[in-house]
Amino acid sequence: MATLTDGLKRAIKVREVPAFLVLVVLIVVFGAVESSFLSSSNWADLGRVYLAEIGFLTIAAAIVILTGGIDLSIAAILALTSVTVGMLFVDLSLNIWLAVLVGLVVATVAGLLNGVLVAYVGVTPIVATLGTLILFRGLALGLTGGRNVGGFPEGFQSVGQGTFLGPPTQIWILGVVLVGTIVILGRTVWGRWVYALGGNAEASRLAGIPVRRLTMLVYAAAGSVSGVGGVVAAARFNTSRADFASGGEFIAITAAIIGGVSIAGGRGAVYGAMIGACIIAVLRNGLTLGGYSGFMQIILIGVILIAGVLIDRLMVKRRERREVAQQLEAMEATTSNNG
Amino acid sequence: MMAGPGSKIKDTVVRRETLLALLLVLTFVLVGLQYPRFAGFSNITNLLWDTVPVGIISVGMALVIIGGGIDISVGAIFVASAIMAGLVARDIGNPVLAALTGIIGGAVLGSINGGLITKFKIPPIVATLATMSLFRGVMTELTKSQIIDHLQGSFMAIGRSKSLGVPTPVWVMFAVFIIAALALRFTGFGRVIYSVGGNERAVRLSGIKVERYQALTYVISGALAGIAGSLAVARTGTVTPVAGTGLELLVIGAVVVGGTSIFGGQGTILGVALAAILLQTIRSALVVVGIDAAWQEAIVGVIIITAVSIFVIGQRRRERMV
Amino acid sequence: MRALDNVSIELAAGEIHGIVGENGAGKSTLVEIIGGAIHPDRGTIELTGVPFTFSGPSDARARGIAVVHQEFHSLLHLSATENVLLGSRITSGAIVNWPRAHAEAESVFRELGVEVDVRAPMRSLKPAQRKFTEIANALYGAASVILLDEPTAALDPDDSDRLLRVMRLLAERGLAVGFVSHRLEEVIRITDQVTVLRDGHKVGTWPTRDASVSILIKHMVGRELEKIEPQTKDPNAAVALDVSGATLKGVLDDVSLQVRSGEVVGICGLLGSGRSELARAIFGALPIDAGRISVFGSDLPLGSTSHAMAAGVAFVPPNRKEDGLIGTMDVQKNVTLAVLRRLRRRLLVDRKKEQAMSLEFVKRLRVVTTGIDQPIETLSGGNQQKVLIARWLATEPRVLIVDEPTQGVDVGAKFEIHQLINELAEGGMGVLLISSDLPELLTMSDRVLVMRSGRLSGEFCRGEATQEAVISAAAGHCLT
Repeated sequence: MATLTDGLKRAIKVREVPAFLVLVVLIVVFGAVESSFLSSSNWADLGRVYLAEIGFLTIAAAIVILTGGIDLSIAAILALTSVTVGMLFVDLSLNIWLAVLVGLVVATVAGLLNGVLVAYVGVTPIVATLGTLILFRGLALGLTGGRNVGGFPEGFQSVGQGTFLGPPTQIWILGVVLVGTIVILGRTVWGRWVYALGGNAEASRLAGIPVRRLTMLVYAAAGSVSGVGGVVAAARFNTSRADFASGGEFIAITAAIIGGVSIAGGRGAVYGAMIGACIIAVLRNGLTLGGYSGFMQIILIGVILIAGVLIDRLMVKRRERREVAQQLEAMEATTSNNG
Repeated sequence: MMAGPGSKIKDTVVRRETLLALLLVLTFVLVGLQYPRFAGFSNITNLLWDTVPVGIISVGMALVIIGGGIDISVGAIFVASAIMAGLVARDIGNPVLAALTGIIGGAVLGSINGGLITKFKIPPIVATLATMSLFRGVMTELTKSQIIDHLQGSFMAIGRSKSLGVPTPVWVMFAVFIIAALALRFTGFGRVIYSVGGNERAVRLSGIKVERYQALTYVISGALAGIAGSLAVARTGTVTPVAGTGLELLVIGAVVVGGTSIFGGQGTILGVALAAILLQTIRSALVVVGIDAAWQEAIVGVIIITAVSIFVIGQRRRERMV
Repeated sequence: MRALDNVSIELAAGEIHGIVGENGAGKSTLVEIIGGAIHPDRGTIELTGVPFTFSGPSDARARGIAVVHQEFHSLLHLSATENVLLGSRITSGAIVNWPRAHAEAESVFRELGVEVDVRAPMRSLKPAQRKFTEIANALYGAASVILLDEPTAALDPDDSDRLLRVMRLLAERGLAVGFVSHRLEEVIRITDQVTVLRDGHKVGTWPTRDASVSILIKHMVGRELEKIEPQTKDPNAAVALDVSGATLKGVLDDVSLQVRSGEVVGICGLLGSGRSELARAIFGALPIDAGRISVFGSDLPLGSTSHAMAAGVAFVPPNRKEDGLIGTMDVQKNVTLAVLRRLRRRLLVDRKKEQAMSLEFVKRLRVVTTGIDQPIETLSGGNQQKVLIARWLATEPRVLIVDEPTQGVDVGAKFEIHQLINELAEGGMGVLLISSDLPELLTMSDRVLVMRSGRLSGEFCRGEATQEAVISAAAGHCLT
């Protein structure tokens, strides 16, 4: 019993709760205003069109931001992966699943490039991933020559367009990746090290954590996850384009921040980032149903981001006040012990 | 321009800018040998004309970054100003008013950034990430996503006229370069910006109101994006709501390749200007030489990565020697 | 426990007033209060008889109180001129008149009697010149009071002399000069009055001509050293740590030492002596140019923390906030940070094992906390230090290097940490104890090594080492 109330108490102090409440409110509001919002076909749309690919990018963005870095190239890696799969299958007639495998390898290598630049060459993340963003988009553009490369077999297309026991296939894939990431970050040594690095890089180094290798792996993982998003995108559209997920990195970073991931690193959780991604997805879906244009959507996203940061600031102030109280509490304990 | 002549720092500065200038000259020479028209007056002026948006906005970005911040909403401010200027040009017709609208509009948007960052203490990257969406979105909503085109002659004259064979926008760009360089070196504002980016705490201690100066950099960045936007719509006569996407990335690229440290406190307008021109020159050279336009992006990316890596490794080696 | 208790001090115009005391005596707190960075709970600050409350450091600055801190607060990429004139209208007004700016800066340096190339960027100036620039900035800002905190700490003897002369000049110009320093010989040489602080109290203020280094030391130490019975150490115990010829250009110069199993070897030295760098080098966190480091006979590859840790070396760094603790984590996660791999059960970290380990250490070290999930930032300094030490104890080390183990730690926790270190030594661990707290060093160590300018400049055995002898060896001066 004690652990349950402790758990609840801990949950309330948690950063992700406001985000979750916002999500619930949004769903309720849209459900009330738009009758079609809660229909099963719309849920499928929500998952496929608005959530899946951004969801992968959000996971990628979140794990990098947790280490105190940032990755602007994730959407470009997504596009590059799609293009790779497309060209290997269409132009080189490679088996589609083999093409997918190669695509994921390419995505991981792209992430490794980021990792090497940041961890071993020493370029700051924002500059390094800016350069690779341009490079990867450029590679995608150069390889395709601006055309759409597509026309995939049925089986592959079902990954992006089919369902599995109800929800769309890609949502299952997203779910698996999400759960995997949560488990790795929350329960494994490397996951703990990610948080340590984001919290205090020098202290981590002095505690024996292999900081450089960790950084490199994190960027590589972000690349891989983005790559999965690219495969899903190619399957959904039945084509691959160099401009897939244009601007996606910014939506992903916004989602992560809304979900409670601190831009400074070391604080936040991937499931929170995913809640942020859901908020953005629900928002866009709901507004589209209501006839509001795409630009209205991005206005609201901008507003929510600012609101989210301001709320977070308020929570920090409240936490600081609580911490001062805790400190006094502990000090009183000391004096009563020594007195 | 940084601290006056002092042996070691001068070497560093001179080395970086010299390298960029050399590369620029080298590109012209190498390509010009094969394609003489590339190094000709007409082509160079066209090249500079194409550099105008990135060139002007890079100056504003450099100011913001030197002061310790960052502004990724410049692309959005660019298109918002272009739309504002275009609307005035189309519906009211007065070219001067149109240009002023674009510039002041940009400044106002920049002040929103400044306010969010200095008053509400939102981290620059987050604030400008949000305003990036906001500015573009609001402007498009207000204009109902129309594409503005078929603009009048007198406004177009600003964007298309030439003096001494050089297009007006290019003159404007150089004027911006020179004024900014002089301001950084010779005005109190410029020196405070360098100081703040270098050691904010020390500056605060000396009683200077750090927030005001930082906010001002965002206003200037917005105004410069506004100038670029007005010039762009005056040149092409049309602007769509999706124009300028990705512009902020090229701008940051130019600023960083030009030797400005992302952490603030260092950087020169000369370096930024050379980098902006160099990037455009290389893109143009690739086209002339016959490399598919589609591969330009990739090569620009490689250049940025290589340039930055070289700078970083060089800086670390220098720090170890000190 | 109070950082300062009823301390009154008067800085008279035209005089140099020295402030001395051990670490933790309250010198830094006093400096921060005078400089406006901390509000005192009680007491007043008066300038020429007028009481003031400062809203912050820049307010104090504006009223004429300048503090030159130990750490440099300069703009490294900008010229000396701009550093001197920082905050003045000349460099922050509309147009900058460079010739005038340089001329003004030069005239200030001339007044101070020092030569600095005003156009050179701060980065290229020697530490002494940077200090002079900061002093020039204070002078230019029309300060009436200037407080210098360990200004000669990182300077060589010639530059120190120059700096002392500058201080005399400032006094002659009518400023009230405060001189906080560990270098007692300099304090005796240059000051007119000297105040000794101890454990937050003022022991007294005397005209310097009535004082001497040994008198100052007596007042600084004054209390009884802790009664920890020294164990007789086995002179033939295995050599736990053997360092020979550690060299790093500009930092360490052919340093060799040995720590036997069960021994506590203390290292002391002033700022810049290389003692902290030596610790990092042994742990592998700082690559060195040459040297051999071996643990219980086996050589360690240099510059690798993983090898050092695997061999059983543990390093508790100073500055626990910056370099030790992960502020975003709780007590438990900080404790187990270095041994996560040992707490695994089939690829995942075993929560139960982790909890058990954290609870065990919290209990063993008597960490005062509301629970192992308490955020580490909310613990008191002493308890934070214990958590940090616990982290390293969890690695079951054979060699323990502790650097400033009781800095900013209350008396109770300090005693407990000392007891702990003794227990560990008794258990066979070799302990290298680096500290600027001399009584601590003398009580705990079987041998005290003194470092100066990257070299070992003295060694004392228990009994030989008196504070006077150690302090003088550290400062490089002879005490008759």
